[in-house]
Amino acid sequence: MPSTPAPARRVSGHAAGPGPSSAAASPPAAPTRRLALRPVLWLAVVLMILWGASYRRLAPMASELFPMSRPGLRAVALYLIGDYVGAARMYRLAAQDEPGEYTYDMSGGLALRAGNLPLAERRARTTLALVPGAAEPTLTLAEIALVRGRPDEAERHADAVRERHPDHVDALYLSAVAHAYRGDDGVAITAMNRALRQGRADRETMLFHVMEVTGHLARRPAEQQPASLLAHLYRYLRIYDPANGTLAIAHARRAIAAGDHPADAYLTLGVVYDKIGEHAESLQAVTRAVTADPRHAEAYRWIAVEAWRRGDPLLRYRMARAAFEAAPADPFYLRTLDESVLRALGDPYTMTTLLRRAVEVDPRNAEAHERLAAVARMQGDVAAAVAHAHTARVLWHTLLTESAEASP
Amino acid sequence: MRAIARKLRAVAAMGPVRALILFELAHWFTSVTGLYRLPGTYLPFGVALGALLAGAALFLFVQRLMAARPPDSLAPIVNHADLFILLAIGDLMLINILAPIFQLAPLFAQGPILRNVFMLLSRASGGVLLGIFFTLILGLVCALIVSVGRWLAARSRLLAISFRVLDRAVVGAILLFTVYGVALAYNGSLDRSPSVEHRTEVVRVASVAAPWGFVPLTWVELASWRTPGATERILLFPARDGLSPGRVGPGLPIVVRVRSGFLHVPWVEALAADPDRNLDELLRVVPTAAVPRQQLIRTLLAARRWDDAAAHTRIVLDQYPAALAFARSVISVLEHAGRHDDARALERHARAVGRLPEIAHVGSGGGSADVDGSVHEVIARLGLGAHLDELATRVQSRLGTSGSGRRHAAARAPEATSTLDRHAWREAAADVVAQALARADAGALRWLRSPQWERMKSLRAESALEDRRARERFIAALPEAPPSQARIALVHRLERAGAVSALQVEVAEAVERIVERARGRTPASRDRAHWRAAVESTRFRTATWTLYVYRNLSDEELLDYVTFWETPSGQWLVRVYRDAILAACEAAEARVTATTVSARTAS
Repeated sequence: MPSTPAPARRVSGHAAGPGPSSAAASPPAAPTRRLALRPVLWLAVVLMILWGASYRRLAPMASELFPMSRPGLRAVALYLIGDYVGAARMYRLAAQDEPGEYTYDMSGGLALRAGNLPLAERRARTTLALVPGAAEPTLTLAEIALVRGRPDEAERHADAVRERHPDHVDALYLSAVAHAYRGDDGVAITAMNRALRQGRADRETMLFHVMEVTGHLARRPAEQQPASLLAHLYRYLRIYDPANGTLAIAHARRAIAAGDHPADAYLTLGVVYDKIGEHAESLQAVTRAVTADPRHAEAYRWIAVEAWRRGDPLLRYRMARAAFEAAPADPFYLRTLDESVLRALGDPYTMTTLLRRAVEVDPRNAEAHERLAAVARMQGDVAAAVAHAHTARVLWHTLLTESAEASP
Repeated sequence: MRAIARKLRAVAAMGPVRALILFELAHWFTSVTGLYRLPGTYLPFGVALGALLAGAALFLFVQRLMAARPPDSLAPIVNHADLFILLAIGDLMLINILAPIFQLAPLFAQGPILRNVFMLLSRASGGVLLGIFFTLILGLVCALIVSVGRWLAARSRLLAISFRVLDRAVVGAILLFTVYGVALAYNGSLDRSPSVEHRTEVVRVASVAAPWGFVPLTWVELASWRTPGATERILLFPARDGLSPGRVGPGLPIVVRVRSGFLHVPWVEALAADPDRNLDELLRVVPTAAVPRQQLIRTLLAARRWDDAAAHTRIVLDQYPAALAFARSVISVLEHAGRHDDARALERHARAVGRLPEIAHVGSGGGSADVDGSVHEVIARLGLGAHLDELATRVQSRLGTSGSGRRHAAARAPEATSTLDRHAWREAAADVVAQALARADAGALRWLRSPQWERMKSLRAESALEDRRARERFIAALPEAPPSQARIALVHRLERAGAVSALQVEVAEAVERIVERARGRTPASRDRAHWRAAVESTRFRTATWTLYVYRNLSDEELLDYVTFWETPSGQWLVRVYRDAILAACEAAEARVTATTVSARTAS
């Protein structure tokens, strides 16, 4: 607390010198100044505040957003001022490197990253000739088409891969980007949601495609923006920079208000809230998602996740089961069941019942047979374990050979 | 000694030191208030009061520091303190920018001291720097307020008196808070009373939000266990309680552990989410769920509800006869509690239903095969023996049981080593070949003995021995000099006829499973994305390998070769080869599993 100093003991002011008695006894010495606020200190305060603010903004961003090159620095600057289109192009430029040899670049992805589109295309087509229908070179062709501004061609390639590999994460993201350019919001959102449940893309270049399409869509006048799709795109960008979470929330709220894919918008809202630690809001949002669409398997799965975070095994079980029942043929939800029923509840009987249902719906579900084998082994039922393991192997073998048989 | 005492008295008499002591007292007893937290309506805010007083003490410290005359020996520093601070800030920023380099520097630095210096510098980045800056800014803001206060006090006598009174009031409040903190410390630290669990639920969660997402103070309002209809506020410490504010919501069942206190002031030892929440309903919905039932049994035992605990244990045993270890622990608790009859009854029940888990024998290779000359011949001519040896070597090298690592084999996986002998691999394959030869395909056997097959085998063997870089150069040139369409079509036909890539992926997975079993782990289940990705890259490798190995053959020669594999005889050989290899892998996996489980059961 500030108080008036006693004059006998303390001398205020930084120019104060020694008392008169000491002055008489010894020659005047250079006075010691008291600590006081001087202009330099204010400069220090400003510096520290600026540094602190920069640190808070930049520290949570992923290292992918800081390429160490001149175009890289320009890309960061453009990104920070919100020019996502320009930033994506600069990031692409900054990521350019040696394309390496074909031996190590069968998909042409390295050549594409190096910015050598003809070489990338040549490599991708060579590999496609050797392995017809291969996913990776086809996706390189899709990326090349996107860079050349031909989203319809990109969409064709990406959808071809999706048809053969429904859960190929890069194919899903590329398909979403291509459909977003073409204005097929519903298809793009479905692809984004399916991809986002697996996390980030495998290809580093995917971040730039998503960033670019986000920039394009966000440039439109507010009333023409596809709010729900933008919310999903910002949700993906949030993985690299949490600041995009705020934008995802804002667009999701706009989408909900406008009735633009409200169930998906609620899901995005719930996921972003979960990531920022607002679990109560997250649970509320994903619960609304299933109210808006009672067949939304992913929303049920997220309720199960929130139930797990709250330590509520009953709700977790019910929601994991609901997710599975909403999409019994989707092997992805078998993992959720495995965690909620087998691990959390330790219940192989219920797990067996549910897995049998999965096999009923899709007799070619090799994952379900493999899990049935594991559960049977847990229960000591060796004969059933052997039988299911054998069926799983036969199904995997069929899956492995059918791609070769499909070649011309 | 007197001189030292005089010096100490002089230091203690210094204003800043006294203010620092006051700050430390407020800070220390704030943490004591948090450690021995009291439930109630306003009592939980003792921590907030302590934090407020610590902040006020910090103010006193800054004010005393600014009013004090520093010793003359510090004159060079004090006279240029502002510049020192500015330079220190600049240096810290520079260190922060260079932090990634400092993180790498220890890898190249010589000597532990230099390495530690670099490590320390690298850690000065980010959060630490932010903390330092935050403290400095706080100090400077305090200094600004003190300066303004002094300027005002110099112009108004009333304000000067008010500030002095406030100064004394803060000192007095800190001393009173210290007394309160000491009492709490005695009440908690000398308390030997048992803790009592109260089950209740959250009514409300609230927190004081701070800028930049810091949440310094969160409390929960719980339905009171002392006064029906009332609520109790308790401070929440996320790390200590395992409850982060975002995950706590109204209606969440909570267990509060309360102790009566040395001075008879009840204090809260711990808060936790109630592990028994919804257990009855959960077991009604999923009656075969073992984990919640075992949790319920533990709770029943803790509540000394012996009959109920025994009844639920019987249900667990009926559902899971292998849960003997758990049943034994319940029996032991019952014995300890003097419930000998219950314990014996439960033991009888466990004996009646219990059995040791069976060891899974998956796809056993069967007894000794009736191996005759033609079996050996087929194995040798097909190249099966070499392939099996290579697989055994691969497994052993993954387990670190081959070559130089062999001497550590016993320590790593003794049970696995004993079962991975090459003879056993060949025996399992021989069984399959013998069965196939019972209905042998004459054309296939003729092919195996043909010079064409021998030539193809030698081409493969030669290519395997060639310099790897030659093959890499060949593949690297493919985009610029692509093979003819006819050659590519032959490669595809060979792939389809032989299902080569599929077999390679299956064998690689089988090896992975054997290795996992030998390590006592359950192999991870694979999804179709994994299989498809694996087969795709394998198909590329197989296609380029085929192009390379048979590069000197004419299209006609390769066509002859491919055509054979498409015939029924060729397909018979493909089946025999695949079945034999996979049977050998399955038998190896079963042997490893059985030995690992036996070893674990024995231990």
